[in-house]
Amino acid sequence: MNFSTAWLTTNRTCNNHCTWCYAKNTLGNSQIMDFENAKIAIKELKKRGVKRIILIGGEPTIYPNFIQIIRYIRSNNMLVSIATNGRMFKDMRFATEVLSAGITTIDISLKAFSEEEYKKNTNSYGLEEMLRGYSNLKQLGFKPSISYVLVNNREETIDNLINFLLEKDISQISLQFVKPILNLSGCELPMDLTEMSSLVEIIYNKMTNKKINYSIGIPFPLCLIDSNILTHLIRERRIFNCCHVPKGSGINIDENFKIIPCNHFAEFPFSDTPIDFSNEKALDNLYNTEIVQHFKNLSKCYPAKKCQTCNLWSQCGGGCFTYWLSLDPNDYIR
Amino acid sequence: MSNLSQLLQFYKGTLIPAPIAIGVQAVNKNSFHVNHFDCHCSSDDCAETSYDCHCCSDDCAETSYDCHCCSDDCAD
Ligand SMILES: C[S@@+](CC[C@H](N)C(=O)[O-])C[C@H]1O[C@@H](n2cnc3c(N)ncnc32)[C@H](O)[C@@H]1O
Repeated sequence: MNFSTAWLTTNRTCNNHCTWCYAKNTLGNSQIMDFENAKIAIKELKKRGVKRIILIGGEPTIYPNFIQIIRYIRSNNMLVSIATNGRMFKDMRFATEVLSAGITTIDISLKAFSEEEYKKNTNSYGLEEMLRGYSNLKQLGFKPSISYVLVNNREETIDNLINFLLEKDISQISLQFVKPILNLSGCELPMDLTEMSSLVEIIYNKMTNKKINYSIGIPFPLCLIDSNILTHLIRERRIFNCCHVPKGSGINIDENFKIIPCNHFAEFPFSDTPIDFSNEKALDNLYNTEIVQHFKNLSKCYPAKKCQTCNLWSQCGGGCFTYWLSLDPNDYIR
Repeated sequence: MSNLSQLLQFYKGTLIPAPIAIGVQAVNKNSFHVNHFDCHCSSDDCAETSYDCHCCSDDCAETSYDCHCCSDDCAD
């Protein structure tokens, strides 16, 4: 098995506790990724073609070996990105150290537009720290990307977001939509797919109007979006929706070295046995198991029969697999 | 039965195998989807290049959309 990108969950611990977090039931887990074993895993990933490693969590910046792991990945000639809430970069010394370790990209996720709202969404006050972190990185000549997860369909959220971006002089935003928190007793999804698609139209109109440089990750089928708007969005290259899951181009490793189908499956590893990366055959053995094959087969199916004849298929791919664990695609796909 | 097997029993889509979709990609460089988007073109051609993205190659011209990698290597 070869991959182009690997996600490493260095730790599940986090200085925030976001209400919509797909990993919220694991955040109490204090287990962190053993650094010596992480190095062995990184070497093996390198051999398997990985070009970029994305450190994620939990909050990767609070991983005790954070600087060392960045250096180690870079010394193996791979790119290293992080998904972070950005709060730790409030400390200029920390920011300087991370940059000099050679980090490639930093994606800071914005959680709210006011300190009160931040507290409501994450159970901590972190907005000021995040903004200071962003500004420190910029002062050091590094430009982090900013992302924002849309968890409600209120038009007001888009207005607040636009005002916030203009006020804080943030020149680019990558928007994403909420995915369900996977659970055997029912997957929780705060917003329906049709609400998401209506919001896309609002975003398009408002952001175009205010000349915001935005992109939107569309995890639902493209046929839900008004076709005129969709044409504009594609032409202007505003949307992205590629997923590594059906392609098999990515690998997600949790803090215990278990392999998960993607980050959203935080509590659903392919196997409860951690991968011993010093055994060259361990990954291939796992990928040959019935459950991995079963998952891969399912994730490569048309969600609805109608998709078979749809000329958008190659650009669409039928939406995020996680939705179809609780929603029936026939109720949505046009 | 493992938790994952149980979860997969909830799958409500078809069992008809589909060709892998390439998807569309925004032009924003330096931004990557942290959860499922690997910020690279999905084409197999990618595997041959040092940075695993074919957006700068002529192949793109063949596709109906314009595929852009967010990797810094690609910036130009
Ligand atoms: C789980 S966090 C881990 C990294 C870091 N602690 C942070 O806050 O960015 C990674 C990203 O996933 C997003 N995220 C969490 N739960 C999500 C969900 N249910 N659907 C979509 N995105 C989600 C977060 O908002 C964040 O942008």
